[in-house]
Amino acid sequence: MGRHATIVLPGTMVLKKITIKTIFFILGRALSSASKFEPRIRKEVASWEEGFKIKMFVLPSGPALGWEKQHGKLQYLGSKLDHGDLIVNFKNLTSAFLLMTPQVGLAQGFAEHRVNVVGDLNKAISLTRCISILLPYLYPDFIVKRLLKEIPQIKYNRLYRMLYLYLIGIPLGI
Amino acid sequence: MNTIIGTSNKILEIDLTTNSYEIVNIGEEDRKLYLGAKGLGLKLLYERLSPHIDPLSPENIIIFMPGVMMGTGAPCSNRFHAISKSPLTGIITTSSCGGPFGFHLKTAGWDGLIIKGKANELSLIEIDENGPRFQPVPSLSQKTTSLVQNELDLKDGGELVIGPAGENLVPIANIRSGDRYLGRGGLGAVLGSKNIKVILARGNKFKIIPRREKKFKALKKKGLKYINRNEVTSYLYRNFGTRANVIPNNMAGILPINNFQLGRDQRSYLVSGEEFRDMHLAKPHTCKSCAILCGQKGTFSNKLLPIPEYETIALLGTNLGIFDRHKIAKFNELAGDLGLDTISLGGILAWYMEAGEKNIINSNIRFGSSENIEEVILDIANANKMGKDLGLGVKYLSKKYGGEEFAIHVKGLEVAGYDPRGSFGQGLNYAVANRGGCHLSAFLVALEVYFNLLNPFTHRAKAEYVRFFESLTATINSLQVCQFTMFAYVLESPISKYTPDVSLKMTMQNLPKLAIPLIDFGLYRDLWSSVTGIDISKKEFLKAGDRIHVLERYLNCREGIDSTQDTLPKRFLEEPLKSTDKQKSIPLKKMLKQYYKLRGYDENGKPREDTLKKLNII
Amino acid sequence: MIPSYYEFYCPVKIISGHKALDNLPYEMEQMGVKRPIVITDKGIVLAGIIDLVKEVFKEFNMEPPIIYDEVPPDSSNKVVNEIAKIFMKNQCDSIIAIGGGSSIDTAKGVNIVVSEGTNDLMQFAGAEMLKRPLKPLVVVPTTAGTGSEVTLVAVIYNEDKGIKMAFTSYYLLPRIAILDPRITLSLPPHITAATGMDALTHAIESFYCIQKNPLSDGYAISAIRLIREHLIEAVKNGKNKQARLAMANAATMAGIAFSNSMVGMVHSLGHAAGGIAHVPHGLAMSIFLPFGMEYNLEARRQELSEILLYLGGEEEYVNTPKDKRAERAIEIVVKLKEELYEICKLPRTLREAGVEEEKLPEIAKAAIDDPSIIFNPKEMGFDDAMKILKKAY
Ligand code: SF4
Ligand SMILES: [Fe+2]
Repeated sequence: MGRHATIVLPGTMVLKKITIKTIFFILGRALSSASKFEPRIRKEVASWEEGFKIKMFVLPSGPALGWEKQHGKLQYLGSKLDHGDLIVNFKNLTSAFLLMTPQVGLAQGFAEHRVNVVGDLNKAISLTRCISILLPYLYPDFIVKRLLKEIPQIKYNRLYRMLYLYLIGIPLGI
Repeated sequence: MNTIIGTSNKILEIDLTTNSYEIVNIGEEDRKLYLGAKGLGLKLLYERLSPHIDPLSPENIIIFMPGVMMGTGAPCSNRFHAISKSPLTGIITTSSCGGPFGFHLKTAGWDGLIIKGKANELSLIEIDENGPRFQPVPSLSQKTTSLVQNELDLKDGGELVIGPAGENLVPIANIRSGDRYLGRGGLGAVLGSKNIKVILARGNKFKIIPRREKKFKALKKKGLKYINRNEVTSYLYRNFGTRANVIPNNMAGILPINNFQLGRDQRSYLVSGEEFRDMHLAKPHTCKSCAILCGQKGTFSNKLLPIPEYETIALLGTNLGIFDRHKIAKFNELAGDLGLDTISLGGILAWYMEAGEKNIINSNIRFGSSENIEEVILDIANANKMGKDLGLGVKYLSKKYGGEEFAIHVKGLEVAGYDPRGSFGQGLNYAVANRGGCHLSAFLVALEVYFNLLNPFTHRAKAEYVRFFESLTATINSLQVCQFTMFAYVLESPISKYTPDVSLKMTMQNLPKLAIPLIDFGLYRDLWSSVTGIDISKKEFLKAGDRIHVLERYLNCREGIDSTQDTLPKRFLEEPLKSTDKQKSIPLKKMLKQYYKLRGYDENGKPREDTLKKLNII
Repeated sequence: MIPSYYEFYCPVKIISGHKALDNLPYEMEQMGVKRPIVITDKGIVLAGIIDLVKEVFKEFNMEPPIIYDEVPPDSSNKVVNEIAKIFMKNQCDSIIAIGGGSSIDTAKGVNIVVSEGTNDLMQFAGAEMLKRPLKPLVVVPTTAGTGSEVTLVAVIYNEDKGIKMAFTSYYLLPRIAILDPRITLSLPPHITAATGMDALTHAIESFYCIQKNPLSDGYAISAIRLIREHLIEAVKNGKNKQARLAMANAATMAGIAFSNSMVGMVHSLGHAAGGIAHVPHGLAMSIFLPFGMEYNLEARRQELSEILLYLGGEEEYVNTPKDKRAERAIEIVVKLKEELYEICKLPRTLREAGVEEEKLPEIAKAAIDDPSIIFNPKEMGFDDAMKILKKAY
């Protein structure tokens, strides 16, 4: 089925899919890594229950991204997760592409009905906060400005954490 | 106002038995060898204390020492030390406190206070620039610390007060100053045994002026800059106090739960610094001249109370299975009023709960419930019923009733709130810390868990770091400034700041011999020099730290300490840490061997003669 | 400005007018249902409204509907399950909700349980957990405020967990909403005032929150204008059918506006204050509305200035300098609050509403986790929420 689907996809779709997969990977590992060192993300994750599963999914057939809280930490699970306590569905590839590349921020994504959320909405807000805190460690301000209502002031070690994420956190998954 | 340039070098030595006092002068030689505060205090104790005396007898001596930084307005400098022989452990105990007493003692012109002997009735000592006055205070007998504080005229004064626990000679009794405590090792009982309820210093008579004022101002500015740009000091501790440790500790699985049976609990989030700050409208409530501002007060059921410290939350909260912020704040207030050390108290209650659970003893408290806890605390403070035995500490209890497998103490001092099974270096710290199960001696948790600079699950390099940080900590405690400045002064100094994380970590873990000399503690040295006007090289400065640490060890060895007591509770050595995926046991033997070598101790853990000589101790 | 992308959906047939209720049996027949259950509360029965319903059914030669009239002010999953049992036992095929927010939300909950054939309502909590259409639901709102008759949300208290849980799904939208002034005539002044302020909040928030769009704007504007013209009168003179009908329309329009453009922090705070300190929703809206407008002032100056035209009228708008219009709009809301306090003692602050100060942090915490916060133009963190709560105290 998967092979077949790939064949009928127009070229740009394949490209979009690959891009989204890559960014899911980056986002997945970056959030997991940042949840260990960034106190404000750490605090959000601490309030979730052990075993809490989050899934991001592009309808109708992926790519997918999953995290689970294990041993008190947020673990990146790749696309392995079949169930999620909180599922963020992107309604289609284009929507996922817009949010992930990132041209559209999460809040705007919600407002434009590009994503829907299944599960405990309070947790979805908590996750949104985590991602808002993470973004400045992933992108420079001129991109972040587009994505968030306001640019969070980061006083501490931003550059180092960016480097850490891209050089260690994401490649090594720690 | 009169001024003191640098230090007054005058120590007030009081003999209670004869109601007399003399003034001891500190020479430049001792100053340079022992710096001040803790170091100098230990030296003074060493010269006066005979070995093997009963800590609660008139022969014991208790010394209070503000350091050279006190009164200068340097960041976080309002801290002082107390040194004595502990009735809980039978060895030396030293304790640091940020209450107002130290400032007033110093600005009354005294660089320290030595108390010997015993008053024949419950008394108050009032100290000003002219010396001490003694006053019987039978009416204060058995009053709580806060009641006494309310009765005192504290304008231009700073007090030390003991609660009923101290009067009743409970070995875990502490001494209160403001809302801060000389907590560990039963110093309250030592004062109680001398029949001293209150010591009141009336200061503000002298202005303390650093000898090299311009230099000092520049250093102060630099210190403030470091503090204000470091995440721990200017964000975490400033907003959440030491309670900021709850979440990372829980994450690392080293938060004590149910007498260290577990290291993580989902509910711990409820007692995190973040929740305490947000839910109780926290306001700063700090030591004077603090730039970090870790202390806070908060509203609990319409009552303004100090927000408990991390250790109190861990030991009187999670370690008892209690995750109720109101309850923990209540216990904290009660312990403070009665004059009990919350760490030891929590350790004892947890042991009592587990002993009850295991049917070793009849216990009316159990994990997860706050029922009867307040009664038990009261009984401990009043040395009443079972409370009498409980107050003698976990070591005593487990010897008497059994249950040594879960007696969480080192050398008789109940262990603080970090489970070393997830932080091996911290394990070594506990095993060799001079006063017993103390977390602050080297505090490797910071490097292993918070900053992720050392692998917590290996013995490699740990001896080096424990030794280095013990000595550095000894110097900081002898300046004295708050130990929390270390996060900023050491980590924000250019070398650690601008070395990329990866290589920093690799060097630190694998090449400690290269990394340690690069750790920049120059700011502490410079601060000390700028106030005293004495030049000292970095090497000499760190050597003073070694000297102070080893002197304390030497005194303890005189009391019978050797390598057999440099160990950890059975639970830490034999039970795996349930809350993490890593389940190695602490390689204590290996670390100890290396550590002794580095310290210049023999295989029995005693300082070798050449070591003592090299350090000018003998 | 037109958004780059938006969606709008409102399939609810609205029947508005004097004696509109008389059409109910006809509409039921049109939908092909015969055995509705009426879900309502005792107050409605006392007001004689249920008798009215029975009457119109009789006139239409329809069997009298099954009546459940014990919905409490804070409906819960227990109540929902109880009603669902009655529904099943009587083999009902449709639901008529008559009442305020509580009855309507309960009816939506019952609809989930009976349509999905489940006994665990809570497994459908959250967004878009429903996968197929539900039974026909007719709503007769009695409070002119919540807008539930045209929204896709239901909030139901989970007694086991002690928390309110939200359900959202397009399938929760009623088929028909009937706005009949007779129904709201007996509403006491302070409730009229509070629910009216709820409607005003829906309109204003939907006009400046980030999901606003030209269609929702249209509804919001009309609602604001109607409220300006009729709220005070409806509160002062409850028997004025004209005012009642206008307010019912305003509430429905505001409901359509906000269910398509969502609401922001005023609702976040309001939901939190309701959940934690049991401040009635409309009252909470009235208390927080000016603070929310003020908080978003710089982010949404243009929209707030425009609102003045509908909130203050043309003259006011023209006479206020351009750069003062947004501030003026806020002032008008504050003045409205004062006026309502004069007329019916509608509390203006949290203190007047009997909230204990100690609860503020908990309210703040819940507010920043409330889903509606995402649509607020400006980010609101815990400390921001605390500041606003203290001001509103
Ligand atoms: S950081 Fe905390 S302990 Fe240290 S001086 Fe400041 S208030 Fe006192
Ligand atoms: Fe509303």
